[in-house]
Amino acid sequence: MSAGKASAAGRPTLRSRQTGWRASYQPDRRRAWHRILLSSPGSMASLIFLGAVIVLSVLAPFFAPADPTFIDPSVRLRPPSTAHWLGTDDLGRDVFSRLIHAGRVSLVVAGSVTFASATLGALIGLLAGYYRRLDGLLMRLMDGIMAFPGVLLAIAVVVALGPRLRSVMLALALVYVPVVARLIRATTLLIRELPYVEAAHCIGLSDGRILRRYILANSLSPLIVQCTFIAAYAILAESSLSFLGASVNPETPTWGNMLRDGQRLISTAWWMAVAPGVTLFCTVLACTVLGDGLRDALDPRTRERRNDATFR
Amino acid sequence: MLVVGSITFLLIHVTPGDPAAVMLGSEATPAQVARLRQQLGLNDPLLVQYPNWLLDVVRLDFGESFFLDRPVRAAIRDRVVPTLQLTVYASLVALAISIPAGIIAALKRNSLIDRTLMLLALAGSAIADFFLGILLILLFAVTLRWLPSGGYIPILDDPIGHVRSMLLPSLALGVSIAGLPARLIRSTMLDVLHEDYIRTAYAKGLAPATIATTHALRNALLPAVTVFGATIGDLLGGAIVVETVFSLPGMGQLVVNSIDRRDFPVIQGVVMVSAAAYLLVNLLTDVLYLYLDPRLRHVRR
Repeated sequence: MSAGKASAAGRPTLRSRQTGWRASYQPDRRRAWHRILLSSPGSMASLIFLGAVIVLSVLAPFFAPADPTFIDPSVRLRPPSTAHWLGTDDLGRDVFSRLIHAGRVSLVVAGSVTFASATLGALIGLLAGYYRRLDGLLMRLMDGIMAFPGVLLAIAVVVALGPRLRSVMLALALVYVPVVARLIRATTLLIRELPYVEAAHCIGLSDGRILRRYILANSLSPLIVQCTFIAAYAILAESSLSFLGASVNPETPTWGNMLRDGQRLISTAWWMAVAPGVTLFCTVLACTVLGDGLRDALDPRTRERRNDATFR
Repeated sequence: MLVVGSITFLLIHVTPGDPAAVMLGSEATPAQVARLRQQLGLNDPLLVQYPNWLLDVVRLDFGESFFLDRPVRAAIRDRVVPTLQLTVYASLVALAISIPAGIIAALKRNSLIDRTLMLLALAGSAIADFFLGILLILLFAVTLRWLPSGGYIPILDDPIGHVRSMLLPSLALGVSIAGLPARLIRSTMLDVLHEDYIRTAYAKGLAPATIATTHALRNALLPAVTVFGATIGDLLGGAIVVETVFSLPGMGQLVVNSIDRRDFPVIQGVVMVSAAAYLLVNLLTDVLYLYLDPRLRHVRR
């Protein structure tokens, strides 16, 4: 019932534009999803917040009022004030400066993990979904990785490879590759049976071209939505790892290790834990809200449901 | 499971660090290191080490810890109870939150209550479990002084103290995993509420509460069972982090202590045990699924 409705909505409608006779098969699709995304206040707020976090972190040396590693014993454990916006820690370091420098680790981890797991996962998913012979082997391997609790697997990898940024990225990418692979395999299985793929076969296109131009291209929107969630989980997971001491060198501030320091002094200096914790929370929340917004905007089915006012 | 084991094994052996060298400390002579490597069987080719290791794992023998001076199995056995208790309590908390929240949100859909609940569900899954733990400590232990900020009391020693010591950790972990099931229960409830049999039930004049709990909920819970099985992974990983916050003597502490000492056999053992637990729980949820949904039983035959 609902499937029929969705395909009716997705069917291209012939409509002449200002150019006169040219029929547009995808009426305003590109503009439409922008508009839907931006019309949702949640997505808009998330975009603004994430933009601010990115700008502050990338340009941290310019924005930071102090050196994040500068130890000043004369201002130990000061509460937030005009001189130190978010107070100072037990060594007299400025919490705000540390916070925005720490954002760099989170963003680098989120970006690279998302990119790596999306690329590798999409490749594995496409191959498994398209070549049935590879399916068993590849997906058993993915199931094997998924059987590990994510954080534990990441800890094991980081401990094995040494506490470096590279090992954290590798560990988390390993955790999220199967997630993407499963998603893309499922969409590939659906798309490969569609008439236009059959048509592509008939005109003699190579497998590589079909996979890239037809199947991957049509799996992109769920992939993009999934990417925002992976970025959110990667940020959370990295902070868990730093909190446990299984991440980058403890000299580098991260939200996780700032929280660890903050917990020790929670009864005397609450700002040390609350500042990174709230930032972490808002960043992850912004990523998930943005992901939900993108899903609503990109997927005609949820868009339909949204108009029915049954969803959200 | 074999894949799981093989991955762990490979992981340990691609590592650059030499455990023998780490064990003996920096003053060890190369000869001592070589002797220890011989003792631990680290000089055998990987193809010899692998079957030996696999046999040991099947017998639940994860070898000796490099530092604790005792078998990994014993170390894990000592630590497993608090972790198990924490995961069980946390799932109870998560169930107690997500099921009513999902039902209420679905019944009052698009109302203020629905929006608030779903925003909370989103926030719950976005907050780091350890930060939630820290906030709970700040509120209930530091400011109000109602509950202890950490420590563990065995249930047999003092049941009330046990509950008091486990309340905050279970809340922190339970709330942080409840978001996803709550959202899922809401959406499946919404789908189910459109079904014909619900309309029939209303037409029969049944009370709305009866319909919600017996007709709708039972069907809506089915997909939620699967999701719950899948969150066990998050639950176990989260338990390790939350245990650290509340200094519970569970497997989490074991792992954290082993991180600094590069004590591979212990980490490997914990990872294997958790993966096994995860697979077991997922098997159980599949069985539970068949029990809850008689339709599937007939399809199978």
